[in-house]
Amino acid sequence: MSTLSERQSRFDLKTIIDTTRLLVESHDLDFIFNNLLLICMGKLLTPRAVVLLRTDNEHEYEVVKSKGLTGLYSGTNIRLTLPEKCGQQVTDLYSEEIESKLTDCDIRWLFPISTSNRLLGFLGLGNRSGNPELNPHEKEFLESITVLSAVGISNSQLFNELKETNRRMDMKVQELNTLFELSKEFNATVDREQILRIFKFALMGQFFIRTFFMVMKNGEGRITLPASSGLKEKFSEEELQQILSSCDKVEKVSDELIERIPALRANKIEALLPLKYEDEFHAVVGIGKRAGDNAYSETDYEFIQSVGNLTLLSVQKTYLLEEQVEKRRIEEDLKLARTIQLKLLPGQPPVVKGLDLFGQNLSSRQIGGDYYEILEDEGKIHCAIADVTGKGIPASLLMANLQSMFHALVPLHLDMSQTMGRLNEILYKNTTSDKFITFFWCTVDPANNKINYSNAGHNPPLRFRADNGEVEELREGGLLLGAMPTLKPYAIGSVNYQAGDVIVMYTDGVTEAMNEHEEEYGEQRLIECINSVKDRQAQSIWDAVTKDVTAFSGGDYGDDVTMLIIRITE
Amino acid sequence: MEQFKLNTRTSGSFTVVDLYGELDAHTAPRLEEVFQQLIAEQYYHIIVNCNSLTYISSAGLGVFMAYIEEVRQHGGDIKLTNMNSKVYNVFDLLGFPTLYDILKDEKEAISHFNSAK
Repeated sequence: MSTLSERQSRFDLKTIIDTTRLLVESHDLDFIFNNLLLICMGKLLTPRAVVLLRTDNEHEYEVVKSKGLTGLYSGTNIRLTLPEKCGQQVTDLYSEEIESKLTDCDIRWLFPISTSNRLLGFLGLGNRSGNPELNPHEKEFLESITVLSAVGISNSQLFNELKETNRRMDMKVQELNTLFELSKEFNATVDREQILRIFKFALMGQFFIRTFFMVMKNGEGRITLPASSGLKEKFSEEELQQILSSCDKVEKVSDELIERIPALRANKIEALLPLKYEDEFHAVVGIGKRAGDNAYSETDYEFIQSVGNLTLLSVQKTYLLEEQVEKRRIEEDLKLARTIQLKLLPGQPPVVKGLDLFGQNLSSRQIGGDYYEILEDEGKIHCAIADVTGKGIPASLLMANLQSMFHALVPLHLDMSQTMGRLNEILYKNTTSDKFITFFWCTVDPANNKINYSNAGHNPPLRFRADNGEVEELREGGLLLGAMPTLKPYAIGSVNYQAGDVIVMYTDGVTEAMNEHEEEYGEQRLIECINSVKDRQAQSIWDAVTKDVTAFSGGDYGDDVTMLIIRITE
Repeated sequence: MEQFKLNTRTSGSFTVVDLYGELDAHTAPRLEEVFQQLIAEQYYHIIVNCNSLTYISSAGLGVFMAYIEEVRQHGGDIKLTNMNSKVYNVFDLLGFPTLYDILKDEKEAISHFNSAK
């Protein structure tokens, strides 16, 4: 039969083996602490025990588990200044006379809980009745249990740290997934609302938030709230302006800020984050509290900002795209307008015995305000040239207006002066007074070798006389068209031409073409040029003049260039 | 990749939304539409059955965040059921189980609804 002490040893051994097994199987710290306390209390028959773990602060310990103690509750921290040797061996606080909160609670023995290289904390055990010392056997047992538990605690701590690290890594992966997904999605869409909606959902899902808003300037520079969720109170225009203009760094909502922007409080906004796209385009995101009661970390803010900046970039991209589409649409329209305008100008000049006619227009832009005309009507040839003030679409509209009137009026065979007056009246009514047209119209009568003309403020056409080599300017007429009502009838000039005469009508694009010294081509150069080629065919004269003007100006006409040439062949 | 689909049906006084495939930034607006419509028609007892949901991204989760409050203000709830572990991990990672009832199946969701009444 075994002795009492043998039986006790066997029981102790069994306890140690059970504890070992338990520690290997469990990573539950609370369970380990509980087990440690219960075993030791049972062994010593003491009603009080506590497990203290070191914190990051020196001399500060967390009460992780206590039993039978009033004043030392689990989860609280206490300060203890203990001699160094307490970390190496069991200390009897009574005999060492170490006064502390522990002795106040009747804790007598302190066992270090340490692994081979690190002190984790202490196991404190209460005094027992009769104040007996620990016998060597008890001491040995308690030390063994404490060492074993230390290994278990250390493993569990590592395990928990690893779990936490894993969770953080998963979180990062999730963030990366979000970023990746958004950039993919943003690339695939040009729908601004869709982009903003996706951004909103991604943030709300990622950070577990219910209140969110974004304020920014739209394409026209107006302040808008293009995305929001969970807002309880509307932000006033002024508040949005304040948010946008004052937030240039991550700002946690403070009392001072709430004073300026009260709706931040009503909507429980926690922080404002500025977003930037280049320098001029920016936005601010406001986020509410996280539903899980977690606070935002710096990296959270950084993440929100990078996703936000990506969103802003994509939104900006949609504006640019719209501009481009609009520009392309206008270009298409202009191209179409040009085609229409070209149809308003005469095609091949008519073949008329004794006359050689040629006219053409070089437009400096897609559409312009120059006009010329060659119309055959009952044996007579009507030639006209005009220049509308201004450029582009407005000028081309007026030019079209003039063209249709001219085509309508000529076949009526009204008196030329009367027709000029009527053209002026209609144009005057159709336009504002700063829009007008210089216009020259002549009727060639081959049967009588005669030209009648009227000049409404146009650069005088030039008649190169074959008989004496002189150059005449055709100036008779009146005021330019459309500027004021017809007060005085338009005068009619007439020319009796002869074979070899050349009449050149042109717009100021010809004479005002400039060279690099900002000198105009001018009438003199034009006359010289024509004189040198006036024996050639009309088209050839036209070519020679435009070639000369091109050479003079380096090809850079500031305006439309139009010329209409009549050469009398017999 | 399985295409995202959703289907709405009624089960007694509850509305069940079945989700299929991947709920991500691209497909999230479609779930949003369904929630908006249910709220507009005053269906506030919503069960989202995730049995065939294979993937969910943050944007997908965001839709749930955007409508839970409104539904609850009207005395209802959005309860989620039949989640596979991959999808559940994402919900769990971002803390959703603290705010949402995530349950085994529709039956359990209905009994949760009934016990809350």
